[in-house]
Amino acid sequence: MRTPHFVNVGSRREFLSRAGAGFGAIAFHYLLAQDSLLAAAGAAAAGAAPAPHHTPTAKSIIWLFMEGGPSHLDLFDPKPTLEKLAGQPLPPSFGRPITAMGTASNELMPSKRVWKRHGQSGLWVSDWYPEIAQHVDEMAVFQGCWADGLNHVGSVCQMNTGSILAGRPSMGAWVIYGLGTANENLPTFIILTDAGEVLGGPKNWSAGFLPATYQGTLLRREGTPIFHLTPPETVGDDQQRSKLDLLASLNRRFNAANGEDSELDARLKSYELAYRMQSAAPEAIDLTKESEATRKLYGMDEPETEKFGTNCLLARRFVERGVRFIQLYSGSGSGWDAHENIEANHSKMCKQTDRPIAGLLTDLKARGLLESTLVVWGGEFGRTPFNEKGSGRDHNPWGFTIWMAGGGIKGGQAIGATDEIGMKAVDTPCHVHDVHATILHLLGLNHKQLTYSHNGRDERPTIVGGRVITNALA
Amino acid sequence: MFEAYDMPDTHESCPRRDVTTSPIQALTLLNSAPAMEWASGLAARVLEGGGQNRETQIAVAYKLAYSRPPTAEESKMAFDFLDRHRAIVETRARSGGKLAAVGARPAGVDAVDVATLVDFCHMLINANEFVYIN
Repeated sequence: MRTPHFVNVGSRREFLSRAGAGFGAIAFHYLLAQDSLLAAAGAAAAGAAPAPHHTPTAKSIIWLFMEGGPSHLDLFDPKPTLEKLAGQPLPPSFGRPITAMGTASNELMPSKRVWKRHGQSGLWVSDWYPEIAQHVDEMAVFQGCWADGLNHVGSVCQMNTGSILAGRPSMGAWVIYGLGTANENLPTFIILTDAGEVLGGPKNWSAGFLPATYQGTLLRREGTPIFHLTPPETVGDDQQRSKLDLLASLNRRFNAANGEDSELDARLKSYELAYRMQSAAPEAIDLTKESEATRKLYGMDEPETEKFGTNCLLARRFVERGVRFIQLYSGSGSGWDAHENIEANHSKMCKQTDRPIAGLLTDLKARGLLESTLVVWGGEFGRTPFNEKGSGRDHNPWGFTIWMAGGGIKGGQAIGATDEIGMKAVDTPCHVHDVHATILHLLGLNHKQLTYSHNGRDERPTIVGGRVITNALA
Repeated sequence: MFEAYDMPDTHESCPRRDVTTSPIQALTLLNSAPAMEWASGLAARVLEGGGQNRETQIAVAYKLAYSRPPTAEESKMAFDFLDRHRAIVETRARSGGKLAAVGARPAGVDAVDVATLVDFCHMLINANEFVYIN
């Protein structure tokens, strides 16, 4: 039995009864406060230097975000029952979900994919991902994921921050808050996009109520990823240093006069990081020294895979240099959102990502980095078993697939399951909070102990939910 | 510049701009050609209004950038900076390095002094006091 995280209250009676239960919960919380766990959380919040709560199995994470909602039903979660029910309406036993486009009365649509078991583990992958399929033995495939949002902006926001409402810190920000940086000369939370603006924009890598210095750094999409890394030709290095020392004293004076403001402090720090990036970043983003074989491995030799392949290669280089949290958007701007003609849409998106992701896994493994790098693949939700406009699928937050590899993940296993038609997660349901709790755990952080006092509450990344999916751990 | 400061999507309404602070923004204001042009422009106005006297220059620069005179302490800090920084710029000039300039250098004004002033002005407009309204 699980309760939804967001419940629309139907009546005044229901509101009062829920509110009543809430008051009881406050008293209960007071009793719990004497519990050792919460006491430990308080101590962690008061502690100064960031450090992991337990030995991490992953030092870095590369999060491959397929924005728009990839279809689990056509990639990792085959449903023979859907073949049998093709063209029929949703059986009444499944209820009547409210979907983004009101498509719940439409006929069920089986997958047109050719499915095969792969690897020693025999996990299913469709012919849309032939190269990624070669890595199933490294992957834990979470087939019973679920989320709260129906639309993109809210759901992308939840996958990043835990809440469908903007304003909370992103997981990247929590991780840096919890662990600090491992490379003083590069941003430690980096976002790369490949097409358009991510829906919801910078809120998805925001520091929320955490100090502003923990926010992610979005790199440029076209051409060189970072502009202005070289000082102007009229400024030498010692000159730049001397200028920045002046700037620091100007800012310190102003910040002191204007009270504690994390924005002002973040700005001061951003200049120091910018200065150090001048020497470290050009080398990090320089792909010219990568061999022809490596470029090929990532698909940089083909126009369809060049962009995402370049981002994947940059991600590996960042991992090598100690960047902790790297997020790569595929189809940034909702590219995977196949409301109609899913065949054309997903053929294209899968083509763009299959080789680059497989290349990334191969390369990380060959360099011995996979065991300390967590790779996460997924979107903000999956897609419905019933059709939309005859050829597409609607948003499905009730059941979808995310997979993880490396960084302490026990590969070659499917965890959880959706129902026979792939609509709802029914076995080992894995909510977004559970995904977050598991990721944080692998990085050495306990999602319940990682707290930040905000507006009188010790806030944590998983809000009031989340459990670590221990089956996934090696 | 727009990109570094998260320009909103022009196809949609934007009820509220995102507040971001990134090293990319710092690099843009530190190293981009427009930022250097603004610094040169400000330095030219400082020379115009402040002549060659360093104290007057500092006062005019603060007036133009922050609409207030500098405190005695700030004035001293700026003075010390110009002193120290001038030596660095001079070494650069001697080894044949290119110097920042202003559009029309007034007669009798030393090129090293101008480049030093440009750097000072550049940092004034990079500072939080210039960037934030409150």
